[in-house]
Amino acid sequence: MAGSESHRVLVVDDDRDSAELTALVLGGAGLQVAKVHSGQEALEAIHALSPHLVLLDINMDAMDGWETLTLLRADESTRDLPVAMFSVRFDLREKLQGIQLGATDYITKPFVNDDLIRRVHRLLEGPRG
Amino acid sequence: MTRILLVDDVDLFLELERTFLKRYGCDIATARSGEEALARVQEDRPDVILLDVVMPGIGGYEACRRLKDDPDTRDIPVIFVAGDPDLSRMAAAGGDDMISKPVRREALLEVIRKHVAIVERGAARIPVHLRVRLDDDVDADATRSVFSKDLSQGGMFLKTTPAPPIGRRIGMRFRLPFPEGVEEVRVMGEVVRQVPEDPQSHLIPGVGVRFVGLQGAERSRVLRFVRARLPETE
Repeated sequence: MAGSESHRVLVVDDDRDSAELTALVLGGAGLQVAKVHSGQEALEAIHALSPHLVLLDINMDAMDGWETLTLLRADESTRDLPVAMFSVRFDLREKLQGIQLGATDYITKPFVNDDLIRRVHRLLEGPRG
Repeated sequence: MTRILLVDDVDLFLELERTFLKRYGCDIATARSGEEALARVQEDRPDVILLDVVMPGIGGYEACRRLKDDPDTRDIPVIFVAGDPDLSRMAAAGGDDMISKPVRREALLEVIRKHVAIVERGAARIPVHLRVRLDDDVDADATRSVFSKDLSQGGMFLKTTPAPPIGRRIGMRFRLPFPEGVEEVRVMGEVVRQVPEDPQSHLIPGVGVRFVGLQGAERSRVLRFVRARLPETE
């Protein structure tokens, strides 16, 4: 089994500082991290990089995280890709909506570094295989 | 929706063909002569033409020849319907296929399916969550966005409460994923079915919307998306 250092994570956040911070934290934990700043870029990057996990911010202009998620789930090649939704807060309604739309997990910003790393590792080890 | 033009000078045959195709959610137009057929083709660009051979006026062979001579209509498949098929004349006129009279339902569907996709109504719904932006003219608060429950070539079900009334037309925009990238579809939808919110019911509240005037590139996007996800049996 490949070590976690070979796992690729894509961070999608239109707030560049936030994306940078997330990438730094995960990179420091030995993960390969790429970052993009829109839903459209995310769809392209996912096809180009085949990440093992996507951290997807909800509040983005043009194409938000929910729409990006629906497009990933409607595409055979990315239907089962783990996608954790990223947001400042989640209410119950949003969480329910996320389950229906196929979100794998929720991560609240700002995060505690160790918590984020633990969550990401758990998602990468996930119930797959 | 697949558009089919039926051409025959005998109403009985038109009715018969129409009956056979009714369940398939096709948009069916008819013409009673070769000349009328040519005019109809210019007007509403069918996806496939079923063309009787023996008709008063220019008849089926000549009508076909003219369609095939015109670069704008050349690619529309023409299926001859003939009691006494003359294959060499059909080939000379540029016909794409033929079916003999009397027309049987299965044979008709089979020959049409060789050229265009038609699917039994109701079987073609693809469960898919898409974010759909609604430009609801009547509501002043501009755009809002909802999720779909499913999509077919003829329409979609939108999860939305309160549900807009039956007959309401709504501008809709949504994106579809393809291997080459995401493409947008803009279409007018008409509310044809309402599922009101009901705590006793397990049905998802919302509205069934029929696409109005979906055509060209946007229509083929929807068709491509739906067809790629249809079960093999269809």
